[in-house]
Amino acid sequence: MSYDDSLYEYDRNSTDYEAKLKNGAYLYRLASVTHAGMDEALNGGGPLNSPQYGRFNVPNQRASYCANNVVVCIAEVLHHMYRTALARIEEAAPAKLIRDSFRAKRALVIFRVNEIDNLVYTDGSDVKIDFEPRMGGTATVHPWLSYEKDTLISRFNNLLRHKGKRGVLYPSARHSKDICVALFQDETSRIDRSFYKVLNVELCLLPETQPLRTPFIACEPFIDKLHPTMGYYSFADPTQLANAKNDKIINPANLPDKGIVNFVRRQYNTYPAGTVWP
Amino acid sequence: MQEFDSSAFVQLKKHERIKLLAEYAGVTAAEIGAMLEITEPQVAEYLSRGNFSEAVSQNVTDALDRLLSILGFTLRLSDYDPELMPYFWQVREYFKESFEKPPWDEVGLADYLKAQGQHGLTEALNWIRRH
Repeated sequence: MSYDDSLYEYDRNSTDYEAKLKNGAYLYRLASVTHAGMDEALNGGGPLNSPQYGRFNVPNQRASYCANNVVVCIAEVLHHMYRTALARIEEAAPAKLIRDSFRAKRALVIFRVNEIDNLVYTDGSDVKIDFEPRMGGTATVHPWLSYEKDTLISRFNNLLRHKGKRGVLYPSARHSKDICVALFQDETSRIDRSFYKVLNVELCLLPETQPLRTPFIACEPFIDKLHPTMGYYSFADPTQLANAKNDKIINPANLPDKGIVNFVRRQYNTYPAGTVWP
Repeated sequence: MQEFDSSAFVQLKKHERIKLLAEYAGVTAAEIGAMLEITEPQVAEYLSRGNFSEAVSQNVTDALDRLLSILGFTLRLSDYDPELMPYFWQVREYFKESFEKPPWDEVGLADYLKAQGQHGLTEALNWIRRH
């Protein structure tokens, strides 16, 4: 069963907000290597055990964050690595901890779900009438959004949950193509257990001197200045990725096995060639 | 010399992941028992079978998940080098110069978690998630 864009049911004209994932829809998630198991992919356990606010969760509240595009996952994680690196520098964390935030081994988990309905597409303009009049446009992709309580996004999150919604489809704040998915309940039972794939990926932040279309330069945290918008990814086993692409389970279909990507939203004339610079 | 094989690791079951990282860090079943607030035989049973013959509270299941995350943090700090994990598991005052010290810094992760039990796992993971 190959990746099929029509299995993510939401109004591409951005009017209606009712959305669902249909049977066979692929979801991607860049998990930590310690929590890349099938029973951890959609149980919302990370935010449940965290004191941190997320875009669609308050502390200790279930949420599973996924996407229907691998580059979205990479850009999202690179952004969070960048924020962590800055925070650790600011806190005068030990040098090793700062270095640790500049690179990460992650596990790209690829799985299919059975239908998950009762979702809200945040770019549907009817959201302004039934949920939150200030949602839409920049508010949905605000890159430096504080998720603390009493912000627009936390009020929206509370309302969605209060109205019994199962989750949201929303545009990434780090990548302009395709969608992110946040699910509010333990949806492990919706995973199609006949298929589950894990590919190992390494992510690195870059120095601001990194030129495009040239080999990746490792960033030396205490000498280089950190690039604020781009990072590097590399699949540990290019053959595994090639096999997955042959099986047509990767979106975008011609994703290179390594490259430099933006973790800010940009418009692209060619995709993913304009997005990923090998 | 041991090497961390992330491709093989992600294929392991949860109890196998905990067992392997605990071995890397040099954590014994008795020490894990103190952290989870269960007995050593219960820990040994979980690490070999992946479940408990007698039901345990949800707190223990949550604590196991937190322990895995904290071991993962130590692995990252060790540059994924298993031989360095015991050092980072036990080191004291590693954050001495930092403005944001973790709750375990004075005594080291190993002693802090053994002394504080499930509460310590929660506090340690909360710090890791915030920083």
